[in-house]
Amino acid sequence: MKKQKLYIFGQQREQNWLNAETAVELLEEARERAAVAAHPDIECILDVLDDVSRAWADPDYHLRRQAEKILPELTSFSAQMIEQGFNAISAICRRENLEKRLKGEFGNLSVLDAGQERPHLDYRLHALPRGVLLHLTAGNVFVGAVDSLISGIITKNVNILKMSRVDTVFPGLFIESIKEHDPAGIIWPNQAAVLWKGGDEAIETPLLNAPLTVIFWGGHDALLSVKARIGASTKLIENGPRYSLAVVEGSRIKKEISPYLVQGLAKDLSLWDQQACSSPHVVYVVGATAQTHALMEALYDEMVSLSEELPVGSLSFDEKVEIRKVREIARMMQARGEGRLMCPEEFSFSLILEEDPVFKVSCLNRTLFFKTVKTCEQLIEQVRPLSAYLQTVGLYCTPETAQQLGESFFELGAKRITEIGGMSEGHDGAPHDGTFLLRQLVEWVGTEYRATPESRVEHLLSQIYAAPYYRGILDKAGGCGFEHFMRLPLLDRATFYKHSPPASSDILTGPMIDAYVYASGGTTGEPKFTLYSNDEYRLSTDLLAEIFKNAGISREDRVANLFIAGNLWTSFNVSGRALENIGCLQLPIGGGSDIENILKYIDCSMLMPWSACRRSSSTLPKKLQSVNFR
Amino acid sequence: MAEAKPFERCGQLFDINRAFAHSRENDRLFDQAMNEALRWHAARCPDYRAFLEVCGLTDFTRDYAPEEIPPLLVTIFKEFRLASVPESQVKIELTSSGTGGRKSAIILDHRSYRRIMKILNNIFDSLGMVNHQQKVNYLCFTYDPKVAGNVGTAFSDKGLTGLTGKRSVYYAIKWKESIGDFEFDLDSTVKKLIAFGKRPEPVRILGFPAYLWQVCNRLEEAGITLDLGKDSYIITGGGWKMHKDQEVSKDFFKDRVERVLGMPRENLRDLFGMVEHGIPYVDCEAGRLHVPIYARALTVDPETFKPVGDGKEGLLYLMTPYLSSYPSISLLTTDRAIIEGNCPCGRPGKTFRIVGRAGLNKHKGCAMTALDLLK
Repeated sequence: MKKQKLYIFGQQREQNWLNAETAVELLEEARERAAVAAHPDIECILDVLDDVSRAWADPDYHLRRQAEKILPELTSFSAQMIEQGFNAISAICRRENLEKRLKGEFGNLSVLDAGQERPHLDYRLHALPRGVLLHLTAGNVFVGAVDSLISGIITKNVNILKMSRVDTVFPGLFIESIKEHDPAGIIWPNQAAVLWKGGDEAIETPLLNAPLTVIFWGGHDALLSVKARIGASTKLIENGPRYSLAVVEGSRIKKEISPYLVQGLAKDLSLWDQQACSSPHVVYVVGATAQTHALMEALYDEMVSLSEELPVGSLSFDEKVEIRKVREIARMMQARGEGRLMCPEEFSFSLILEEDPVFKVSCLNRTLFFKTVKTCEQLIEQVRPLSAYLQTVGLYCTPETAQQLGESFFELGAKRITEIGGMSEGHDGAPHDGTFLLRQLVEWVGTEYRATPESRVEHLLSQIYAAPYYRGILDKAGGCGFEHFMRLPLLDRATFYKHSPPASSDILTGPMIDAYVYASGGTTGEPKFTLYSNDEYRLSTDLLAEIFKNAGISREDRVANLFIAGNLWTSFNVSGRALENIGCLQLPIGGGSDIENILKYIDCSMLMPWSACRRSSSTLPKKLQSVNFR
Repeated sequence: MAEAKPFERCGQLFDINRAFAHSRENDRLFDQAMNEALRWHAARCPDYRAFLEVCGLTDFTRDYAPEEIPPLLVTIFKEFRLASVPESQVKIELTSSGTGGRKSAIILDHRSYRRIMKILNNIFDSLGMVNHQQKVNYLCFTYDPKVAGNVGTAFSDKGLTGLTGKRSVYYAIKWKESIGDFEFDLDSTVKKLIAFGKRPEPVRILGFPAYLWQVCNRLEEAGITLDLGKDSYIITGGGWKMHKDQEVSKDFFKDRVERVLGMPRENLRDLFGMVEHGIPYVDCEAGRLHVPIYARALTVDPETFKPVGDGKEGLLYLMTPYLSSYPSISLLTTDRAIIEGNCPCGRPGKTFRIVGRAGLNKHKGCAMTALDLLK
């Protein structure tokens, strides 16, 4: 085997550098770097990775071109599949996707930096990096190793990535690409990509017994081996082995089979040459055998054309033998009238229909079994014996059946229910293998205050102490301790507004940036101003969004915001922001618009379905109530 | 053993006693015999005929080159019971030793049984290993056939112990009532071999090499060396199976056997055989597995079925026309092998080396394998 380069915290080393002694050195250096890696703001990290994303999206990027040359031979994926991999890497590093991932798991990015107040829970929450992560990566999909590394980076950990023997190049190139876009050195000096022969106890023993977190990706034997040797102070995060399957409701297979289904299934079967644990091994058709045949025929045509666009990678001798075995058994089954084999002569894909409904593990490389079951109950029974290993179930069913099957598969132990076509592409921020990975890469720590009035008051007082007005009265009273609280003067309206903008800013607990100015009604005279920091504003709009969601507004809705805008009033803005959080389509019509216009906008918009963000019933024009809300 | 229609050519082929007498004429005879066998099975085994038709072979009136006959994968015999004779004609049913969990069930009719016994004798005779006048003590590292019944290795032992006169036969893997399973009795076996060593008759040791290795270990630990002599033979077969971790090279094995058992190293012969195929491929003095005239061996690319050529690793693909009871006349194995010619022993024809099992036990990543599910 050609000697590969190791990347040790910014320095390149020869492969034989790593031994029992240097493994200990590696650990010591990693621990030293942990404090440095934890320091940068998450925004800075995302900025760097977003630049890295743009670089990998560019077909002319020199490291991409370098990888293009090496990876097809190394990983045996086709050049087209490697391209898909680069696109996937670029998508993973894109800022918006990373934010989704972080928000999906942490709710709020600030937990990684200054922390987040949990006002109703009486503590401030921090997500601190665990320190040092050891990624034991698998060789099935080269994107996976880098994805694992990125998870460690965005949680501010120091990463030691053990490269798979299948891909000893790409992690190093990726770290180089970070270096190119990270002149301040906030990320790349804290990454290591190393290589050793799995099972080398001289190297593994110190690593697996150190106080670090091991993220394992791989198969059964390797996992057992790691588990048997992991130290008491070492945290192990297990990923694998798993299998996945697809389910198609026969009644949805008409004469013309939906391209959505067929293209989706072809994609799930072909992506990463079925090597991912989320790739389907079997398609169950709930219905009649004729429907299974029809689906198989439609998929055959689609696979023929997809095999040209996205060819299967080069197969090893042993992989070919496995496919040959499966095909020959299938051929005999077909001869006996017990099944069907549809495949081109070359091993670009194999579709096999079997009468026996028992779940069957595929030899992969685009080998898919088709099985027919009469009912959903029968399907569940076929899968039950192997349910401990079930990961993804791709569904193409009516919503009613999808709901029923989704519940049943979750009961069985499935970790993901997706649509067919989405099996091999996990959603950012969604859980993986029954858990949230990023959440496991941090220590959740909290600064708690007792939920007593005393404690809450002290916490609040220490927060408002920044305001000159409050500092003055708090100092005079003796400080922020609860025992001084009763000495504080009562705040009346006149005093509040006297110290508030525009007259004064003494009462402000923070600078007048990153904030909103609002005013009270104005119906009773002069407007009175109040400032919300964006943090406070976000908190209130987050809560409002939850209220809206509970009331039934979802991302798919189109919502007309009929609160009255302007006048420094909060309602239109906070509603708009809450709706933004939900992610729905908004019509910011505003309650101040002419009623005829409101109705016209609604009638003309042609946007369905409709719901409304209603004004209080007392002010909702009678005529508007006649609009047919759906 | 001349045979009547439809097996005239088969009869002629099996009547040739010199198992390695490869010639154009004998090759042609082999081709014709294969076509007799093809027509026989196609007419009598509906599943096989349907399989051939699925593969595009539908005209049974014309002759085919043996390589044109679609092979059946060996695993098919683990999944399906294929027969070309009625049950009433079955003389013996054999099972494979079941490496990896699943066993093949193979039936032999009287004709096939008679033929394979003749073939076996011809092969060993051509290697100078048949002497019916000689009394031999046999140590078999296989199941006692009185209990094991139809296990293929026991059948094979029966054939091999028939190559000479027998003074005694000792089966080392015995049924143990207390555990309800077979068990290798190392102590008794070592004692028995020491006793054989003191006798004037030569010894033949048959069976799994891992057990003989353990016997050698025990003898060396006790500081005992035997002198089994130049007429003694070891015929190993079946591979190292669950003792894979102990596997050693053939040369290393021979060195040890020569040293501990006191017999010529060239008398250690490995035998490659499969219950689904039956033909024994036996090491010559030079340690190569020879292909007899009753069979043909190819190594092919598993995707294209194209021969990979001599000297290159391919999937072993074996042909023989002797079987009339089940249609394993053209068999695709799951073994990696290399075909070679020009054996230094001077015998004509091809030899092959088994490189190992073909196929994967595990995938590259986190996807599930069938074996994982068995764990």
